[in-house]
Amino acid sequence: MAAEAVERIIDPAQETDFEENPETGEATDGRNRFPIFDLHEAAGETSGASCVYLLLGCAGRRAVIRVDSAEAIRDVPPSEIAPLPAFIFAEPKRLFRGVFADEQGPRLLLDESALP
Amino acid sequence: MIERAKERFLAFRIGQTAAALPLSLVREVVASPALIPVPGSRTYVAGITLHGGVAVPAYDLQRFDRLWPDAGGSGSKPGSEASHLIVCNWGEALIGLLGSGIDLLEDPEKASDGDAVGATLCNEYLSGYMRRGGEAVAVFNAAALFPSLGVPDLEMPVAREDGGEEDPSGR
Repeated sequence: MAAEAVERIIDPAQETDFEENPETGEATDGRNRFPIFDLHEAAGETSGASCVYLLLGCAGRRAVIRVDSAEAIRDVPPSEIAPLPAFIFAEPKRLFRGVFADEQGPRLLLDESALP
Repeated sequence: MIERAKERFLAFRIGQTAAALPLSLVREVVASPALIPVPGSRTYVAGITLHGGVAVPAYDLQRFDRLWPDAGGSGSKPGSEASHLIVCNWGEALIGLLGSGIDLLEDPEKASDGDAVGATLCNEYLSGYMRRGGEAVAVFNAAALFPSLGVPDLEMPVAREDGGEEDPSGR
C-alpha cells in the first residue's frame, strides 16, 4: 500500500498499551479506539501467528490493518503498476487496485480507500 | 463434431483430462509463472501474474465447478498443479489458463460421437472432441467458456480500474 497512507507501524510486543479486542473488532492504544481490518479474514484464511498493525489515516478516518509483517520497499512509479482486471473479482468491491513487479515477484497494491 | 479439422490447436491437460484450444487464441505459453493469489477474487482464479506489464489472471479450470458436472460443487476439486500458463488473447484482455502437458495438436482426427463417451467436461463449454492417438481431446469453445468465467464478452469493453480510474496507483 502507499506508504503515505500509513501513519505508524505498531508492534504489539513493543507497544504494550496497544490492545486488540476481537469481540468488538476494535483496538485501543490507551487513548484512541480504531476499527481493525484483517486481510486474512477477508480472504477466508486463518490469521498468522505473529502480526503487526498498520495504523492508517486516510479519507478523514483512522483504522488499523492486521498484517503478518511490514517493510518499506522502493518507490514504485505509477507507470509500473498494472491495474487488476475487474472481472476476476467475485464482488464489485475489492481490496486491491493493482499489481507491480517486486524483487520477490508480483506484489499486490492495497486500495486503502476500499477498507470498510 | 469439429468441422474445422485443419485448424491448429494447442493441446494441454487439466489434471488428467486432455483438452485443447484453437492456436489462434494463444498468445504465449509461460512455464512456471510467478502467481500471486488475489483475496476476494473468484474461487477459480488461482492468481495474477505480470506479463509485459499487464496483469494476467490465471484461471484454474479444475476449480471451475460448472465445467465438471459430475464432480460436485465449487471447490470440490483440489487446486491444479499445472506447470504452465497459456496466455490467450481475448479482446482487450489477456486470459491465462493453467495447464500441463502442453503440445501442438496438428492435423487431429475428427472425433466420432462415441469418442466423447466417458468425458467429464460439460459440453456447454466445448466445440467438440478431436482424437489424438487413442485419446479424445476436448476442444474448448472460448466464446462460451471465457464469459462463464466472468470475462467480458468480446463486444463489451473491459472495465477499467474502479470503472474508469486511469491511474491504479491512485496518485
